[in-house]
Amino acid sequence: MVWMGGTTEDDEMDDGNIPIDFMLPPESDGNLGNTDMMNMKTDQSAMNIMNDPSNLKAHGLAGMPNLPIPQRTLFGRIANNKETALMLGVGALLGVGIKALWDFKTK
Amino acid sequence: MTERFDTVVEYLRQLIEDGLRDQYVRRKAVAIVNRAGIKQHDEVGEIEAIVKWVQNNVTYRKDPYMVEYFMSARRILKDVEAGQSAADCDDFVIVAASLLGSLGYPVGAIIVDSNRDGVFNHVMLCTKTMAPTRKYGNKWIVAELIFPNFKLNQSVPVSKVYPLIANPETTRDPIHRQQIAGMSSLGSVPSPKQLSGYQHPYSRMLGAVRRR
Repeated sequence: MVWMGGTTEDDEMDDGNIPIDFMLPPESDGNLGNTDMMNMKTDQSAMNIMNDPSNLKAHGLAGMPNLPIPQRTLFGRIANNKETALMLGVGALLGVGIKALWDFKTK
Repeated sequence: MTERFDTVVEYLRQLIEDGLRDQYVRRKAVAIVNRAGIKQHDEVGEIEAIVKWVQNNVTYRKDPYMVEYFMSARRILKDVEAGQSAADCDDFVIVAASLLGSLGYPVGAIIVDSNRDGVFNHVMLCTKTMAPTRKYGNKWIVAELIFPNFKLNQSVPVSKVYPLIANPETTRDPIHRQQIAGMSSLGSVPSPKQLSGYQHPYSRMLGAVRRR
């Protein structure tokens, strides 16, 4: 169980501005939010870099939650159910084996 | 990475973590998705509704020159309700990530170089659905919040990202209950250790002895 805090709606809390850094040194990167956005072309570079496997690995994000979604199609259901896939695979192998045995005995 | 950068990102992450467990924020998130008519289990719908709401309702205003402000998600939401919204990109991310995090999504901020010069100067939201979706698969979704016309995964061209994922299982004190730098320390930057409320066992013991 994770800590849920005590920040209920009625709690008094100092939720004001939190100034973190006055008089930024001249060599600093400047303010994070004061983006000039000199280039307003758009693309999907942020998403692509974010999802790059090396980036995910570097920041330990490769193992984030990934729950299977219920699928309506037969193959979707099979793909989402390891036991079903395993059972079908074993069944198919068994079927092929029995057929091969039958052919061997009867032909 | 500079110490200042570490401090800034630590504040950002902690404010998101505080916001996503704030009941006030969760109520607001539920109200937004309900009002948008999003059906249950529609993860992409919920993410789109929250992002749209933040893009359309939070007003972008720059921080004072050479001063970096961060606001709690609750404060930002109250400002919106009072018609006094004024937030910059890090505040947009704090409120959007808190709203989505309170609905159960993995959330975080990604710090990017919006001028493609390698200097981190802008923050965007990142989140992902719990289950793979047709539209986004199992990928992280990024969102530019300060421009209402930007769709999910659309961004200005960037060359570098620094993801900062919130840890909802943190057991530290909320940031507003931590001792934050007072007047005497203005101009100095507290270390991430100070921000997290960590105290060396020896310091704790010494403090107990002094109190006696």
